[in-house]
Amino acid sequence: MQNFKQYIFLLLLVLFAQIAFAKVINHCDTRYEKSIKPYCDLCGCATNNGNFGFGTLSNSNFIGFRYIHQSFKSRDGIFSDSPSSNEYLNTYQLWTQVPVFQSFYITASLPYQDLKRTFESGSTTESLKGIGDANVMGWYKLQFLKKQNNDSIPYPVGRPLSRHSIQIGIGAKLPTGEFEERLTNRVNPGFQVGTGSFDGIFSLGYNYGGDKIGFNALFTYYRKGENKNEYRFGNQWSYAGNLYYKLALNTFSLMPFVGISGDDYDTIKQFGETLQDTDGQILNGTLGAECTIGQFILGANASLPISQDLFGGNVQANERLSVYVNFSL
Amino acid sequence: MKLFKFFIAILLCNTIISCSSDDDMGSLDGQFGNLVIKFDNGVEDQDFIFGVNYSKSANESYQLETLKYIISNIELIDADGTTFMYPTDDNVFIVDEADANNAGEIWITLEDIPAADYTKISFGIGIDQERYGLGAEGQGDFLQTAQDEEMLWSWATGFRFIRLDGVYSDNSVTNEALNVHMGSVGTSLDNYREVSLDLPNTVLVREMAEPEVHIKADISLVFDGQTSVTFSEGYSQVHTDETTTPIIADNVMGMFEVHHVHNN
Repeated sequence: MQNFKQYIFLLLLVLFAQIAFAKVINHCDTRYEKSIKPYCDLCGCATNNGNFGFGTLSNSNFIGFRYIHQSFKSRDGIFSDSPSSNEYLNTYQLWTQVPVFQSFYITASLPYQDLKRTFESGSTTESLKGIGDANVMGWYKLQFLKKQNNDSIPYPVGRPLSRHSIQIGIGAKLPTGEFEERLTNRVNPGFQVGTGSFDGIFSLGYNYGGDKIGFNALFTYYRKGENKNEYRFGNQWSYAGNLYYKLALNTFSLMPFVGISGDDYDTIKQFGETLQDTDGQILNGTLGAECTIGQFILGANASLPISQDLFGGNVQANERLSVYVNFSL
Repeated sequence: MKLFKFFIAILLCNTIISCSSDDDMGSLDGQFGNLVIKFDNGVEDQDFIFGVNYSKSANESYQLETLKYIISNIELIDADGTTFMYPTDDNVFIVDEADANNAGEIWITLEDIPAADYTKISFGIGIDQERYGLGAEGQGDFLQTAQDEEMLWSWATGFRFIRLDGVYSDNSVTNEALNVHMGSVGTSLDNYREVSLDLPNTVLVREMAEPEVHIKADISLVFDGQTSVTFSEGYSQVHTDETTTPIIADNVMGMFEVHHVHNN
């Protein structure tokens, strides 16, 4: 099993390193050619999966496949009665959490984006498909230990684990997806398979795992880089909190959960100038469940916005669905 | 552990060597580009649509079947204060709502503009005395265009700067004729007006880029602008009158705003 883990880790490492290098070379191409638009991003809002989390509810190690569906409605014009368009963002993602050594693990994801846009005014449909932005993070897990009880005989093996833990993550979002500058002229600049930028990701999480009830909280900050088109998506704060209940049955365990998640976006900058009405925030409510059967972890959740104000009210987020199948490592 | 260090090293390298903006390094001298100006007519925060009834002050309402105006003397001002006046012969346009695309926008494409970082735009509504002074011959193709678009009374009277045709209703009348045709009257009455608008973001005209300036025109301000006018009190038929036309001209001057710009 150990060999298997190392093998997978090595494989992912090589994959991401290759992607990173390939893009760096491209990124440093000093010729400014409009005809080539090899860039992408996560407008925080659409192509970003930040508050869907980097791992599973049970914080286990895995490799798996995740599908995310998001839908948005954007106003396609400058007036309050301008026609709108509906955007459907389907993300098929390979994702993993692999242990490197004790207290340290890595999460990574590589999405394939399938975006569709239909216009209210006519029957025209636009679609955009392609590899999206990969995401790699290193995590340090600080597992608290139980308070030492003075009366008890000290355990020779050390103190038992407490139910609380904290994890700190640092990582990057790589510009592996393509960013098309012309698409930013639309009202929802997030209609992209990628952001074209190299972004820093900083996370702080807290877990409580009781016998029956558990709680996870995660705060993440995305420091967005500028892409080749001098377009910089707004820095972003994401937060999520989930409360789950463990139901252990004979052959499998079920963990239903309820949670909230949100994002806060700073304004987009282009050529060093702030673009108006490009900031915003959203708060979602989530219901879902995770089920463990043997080595398999199955999960599903659905979110609906509780409150939102995106892009000066020009973009409205609708439901989000996420389904995943993971194989425990 | 070695693997991990290697991995972190890759990430660090990536961060360090990822370069940011590297265009704009060379001089812009001798570079020319295009600029698109989009005119988007609305009524307050609504999109303007022919045949839709819009209410205004004094319990009056109107609906239009013609909406067009003349834009001329488009000038761009860059960050250093240098101005660029588009060549006079080509610097006159009729913005006709009937020509609008699916999005309700009327596009004017200006070609061969010196590459620069523009921060302001100014333009005139109508035809100034200097251009009129060139005589019928001096108008080039625009004379015919204006005639075809019914934006010319007669050469002696001159051009209609804005033309709104439709009907209005109030508490006592329904669907009475509404015709607002404002212009200068020969050389005796000058209703040409100029507006100067700040651009909310710098417009970067480059050889390889075609930026867009999206201008919103609020038609409600023709009637409820600087001065609120009442159809039933002489403003349902505005033609060459020396009292009513300057008021409409001043109102029209205030109806434009740059909603946003796009740098491509």
